[in-house]
Amino acid sequence: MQTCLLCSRIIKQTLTFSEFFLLKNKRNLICNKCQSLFKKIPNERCPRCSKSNSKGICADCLRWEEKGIIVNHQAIFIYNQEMKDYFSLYKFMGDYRLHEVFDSYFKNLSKKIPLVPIPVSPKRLQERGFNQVTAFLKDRTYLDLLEKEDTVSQSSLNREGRLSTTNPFKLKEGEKIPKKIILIDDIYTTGTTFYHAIKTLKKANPIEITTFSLCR
Amino acid sequence: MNLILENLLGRLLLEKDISAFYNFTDQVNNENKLIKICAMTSVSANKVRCNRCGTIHIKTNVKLPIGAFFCPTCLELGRVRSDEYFYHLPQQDFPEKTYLRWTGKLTENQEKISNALCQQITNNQKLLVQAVTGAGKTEMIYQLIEQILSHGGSVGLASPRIDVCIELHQRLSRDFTCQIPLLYHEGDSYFRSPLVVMTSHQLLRFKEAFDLLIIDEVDAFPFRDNDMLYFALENAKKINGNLLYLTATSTDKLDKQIKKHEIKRLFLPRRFHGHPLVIPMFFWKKTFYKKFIEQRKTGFPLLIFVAEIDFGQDFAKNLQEKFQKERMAFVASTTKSRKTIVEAFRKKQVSILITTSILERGVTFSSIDVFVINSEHPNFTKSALIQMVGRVGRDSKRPTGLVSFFHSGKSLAMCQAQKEIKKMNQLGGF
Repeated sequence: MQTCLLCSRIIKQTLTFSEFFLLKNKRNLICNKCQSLFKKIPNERCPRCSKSNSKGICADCLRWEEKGIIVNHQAIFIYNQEMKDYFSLYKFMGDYRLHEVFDSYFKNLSKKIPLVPIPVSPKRLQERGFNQVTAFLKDRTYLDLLEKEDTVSQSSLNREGRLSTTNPFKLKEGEKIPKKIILIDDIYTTGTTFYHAIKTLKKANPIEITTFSLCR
Repeated sequence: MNLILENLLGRLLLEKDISAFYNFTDQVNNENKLIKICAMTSVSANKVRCNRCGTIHIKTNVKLPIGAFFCPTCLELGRVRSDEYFYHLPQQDFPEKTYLRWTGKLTENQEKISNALCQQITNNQKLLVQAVTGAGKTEMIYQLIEQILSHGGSVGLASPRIDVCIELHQRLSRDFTCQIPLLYHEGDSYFRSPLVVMTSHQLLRFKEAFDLLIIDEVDAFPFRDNDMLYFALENAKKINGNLLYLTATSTDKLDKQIKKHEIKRLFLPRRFHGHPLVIPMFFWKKTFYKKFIEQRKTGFPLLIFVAEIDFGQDFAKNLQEKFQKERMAFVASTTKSRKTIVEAFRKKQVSILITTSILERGVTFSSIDVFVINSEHPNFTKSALIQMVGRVGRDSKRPTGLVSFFHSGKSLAMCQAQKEIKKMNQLGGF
């Protein structure tokens, strides 16, 4: 008997004929009800940053354009209340098992272009015991190009605070940087984290970077 | 004694719990000779046990990338990690004082149980008081609590239901002179007191702390046959401490222990007003509207139980459309204005309340009738059904009432519930 990792209700497991005969065991970690509360970003979205319900390029991306940055970002889910609750359980309460709920969405990412996860600071890694982004990429190969210094967490700051933070990232020494990469994070809110990471990476080489996050 | 030491007596806390009320450093730890306990222990090559909740996990399932293990089972109390420690100090006695200021009188039946408890709770005893719903259990334990407190002992009261804890806390605060902490998720912060009220999960933060531990509504979810919470009980009481279970219905696990003579059982089969329990009647589901209209003619408030939230919402909407003159409301655990709706029903501003099992126990409404829809649903266990029946006839002004189960095929639980109610009435001499 399996219970939902989010609401602890019992999950009804249904086995299809093909699963039965091919001995495939598809394990549901969360119940259908919880799954249905996570909403995918609709097609009507900002073409640059995937912000939902945006007609044309959104205000955030126009602001970045003033700073000379053309955002090129893909995301899958809307960062709604249920998603916030999920991340609070996963990141802040520290239920590491929850990475499995979404890691299938990271399996479909490009196999040709190297993936570069956003790192967490050494102190936070010790506290949390895991990096929430690399946990999603557990079954993929990825490149650790960046290092993060200990700073206040982005989630404890408001919008103005986030936009004005200094760059916490450093390039790891002795790493060879490929021509094209995809930067990966869990949540895209203002885009400041990606902005700092891109700046750090581009300082060394003029490379092509697109970004991806689970939520926007 | 300083605050940090006081808050650690008889408790089991992580460093992060302590730093919530004290700036915890290694120096503090060394100076005060705190007892340090590994948070998790390896029990075999591939299994590891959490020392707070006792759950054994397969290592590969709970391994963090930094190499440590964690316990997902008791995560809501703050994550336990194998590279961390618990801190603990042995419990100390309280000043020998009398705290009871209750002056009410027990009925003859209540007094019998109360005296039996005072005599039998001595050392390492386990007792179960099975009293019918509305028997007045709380007053019966006052003498016993007073007896332990007056000898400098400590008493813990735990219940799986938060509503029950809040009500218990109100009554005990009124009837005892000591300040009583009420511990639950996001509740009061802990302070040292000889009497503590808490939800059952909070027991995990105590170690060998109580001379007497009372569990109210032991048959309720999530306590019912939950190994983690039984582990917590054994851990939270002193090695020679006593356990007292209070319930209206026994569970399979408790029944087994009673048979093996590990637990003694005391019965209180009479309600405080001396009237028998109402016997539920079974009806086919399609007769619901007929019975509903009949009931509405009597004018008594009606409590309708449903098995699932989604079904209940639709059901309430349909019923309201069919009977637009009736004032109806729906509550579930997810309802935000739950308290106000329940209060409105109590004050008869709402005459029909549709609810999930959250209102099955611990609440008193006067002169209501109860309907249970889809009573054969697996969510409705024997004890849940008995509790629902127990909502009826709690007031001496109207000690009778109507309980109807609407089903599409009787379940075992329904029959067992009816049988047990009849048995309790028989024991009560009716």
